Amino acid sequence: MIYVLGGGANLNFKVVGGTSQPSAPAENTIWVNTSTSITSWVFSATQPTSPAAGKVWFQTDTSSNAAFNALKKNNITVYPIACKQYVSGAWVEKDAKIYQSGAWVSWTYYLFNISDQCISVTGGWEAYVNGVLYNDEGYVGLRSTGSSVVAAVGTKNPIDLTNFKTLKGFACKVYNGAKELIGVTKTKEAIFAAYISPVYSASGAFSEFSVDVSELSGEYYVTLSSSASGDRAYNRASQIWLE
Amino acid sequence: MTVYIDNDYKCHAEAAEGLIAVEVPFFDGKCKRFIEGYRYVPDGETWVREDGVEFTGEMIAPHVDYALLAAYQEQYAESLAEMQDMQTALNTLGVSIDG
Repeated sequence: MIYVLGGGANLNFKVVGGTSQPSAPAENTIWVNTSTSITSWVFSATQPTSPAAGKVWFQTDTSSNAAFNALKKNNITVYPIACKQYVSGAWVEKDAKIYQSGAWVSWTYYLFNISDQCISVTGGWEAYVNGVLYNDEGYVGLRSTGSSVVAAVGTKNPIDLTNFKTLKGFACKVYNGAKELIGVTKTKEAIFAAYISPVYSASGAFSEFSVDVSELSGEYYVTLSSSASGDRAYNRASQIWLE
Repeated sequence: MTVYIDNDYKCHAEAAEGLIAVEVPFFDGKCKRFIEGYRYVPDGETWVREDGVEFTGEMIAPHVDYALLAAYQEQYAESLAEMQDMQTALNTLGVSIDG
């Protein structure tokens, strides 16, 4: 079943719901992967109150990898970062994509993506204390400048976590130590408010991770730490995003 | 520091029936209220949030507003510093209490 809600005469996009990705879509076609009929939709930075069943909420922010102009004749740029639908009395995460320049673009709030430092959101990644930053070979990582000295690298800009619940990504540590962590910090050092210890893999195989940040509001840095020195990135992530 | 986790992986500062002891260096020097605002998931175990999202350890994350926990810890640190000052003063004055 495919549900189509037109964008209107002056709008530059169209919302399509359904479990099959649309074929031959027009530019700025937004596809919500859902089996629940979309009764209405709204773009908003804050969660709607008293929603009707089936309503889709496209969460917006000041930056997005899927930004688009919402108008045909003038310009209002929309920065979508997430999509939820009100189903059975609760907001449920839905995968949403927009068709731009011949390709489907996911609405994931990336902080690091393979080799992309997502500068528009993060300002770039940098070494904080005692560490060497690695950003080659498709991941971001670090090593300590001294044996057993705790090092940290992370985003140049703090990230507002208020509207997010989970820090996710793919990471691994190639040194099986206790200081090799990924999480969020209030300052540019390895003092975490929340973290996980990535799965150890001597070969560098990445595993998915999740950190609960639902109780954090306001700005935090996304940070990696390590206490291992040498000539390799001992703690590394290939992708990091927020949901 | 040894803390104690319940079946929802919430941390407790003191042992009690049904709680499991775990060693978590993150809590070294932290006060009771700070500790008990956190959830700790040991390596290899999984906690499922009420919305169904799974978190596999080792993970540590607050289940209480972190700003509140930070305020508790700051008050605790200030109290400790005051007590240390008082003790230093007593030592300087050569005052001691014998039982």
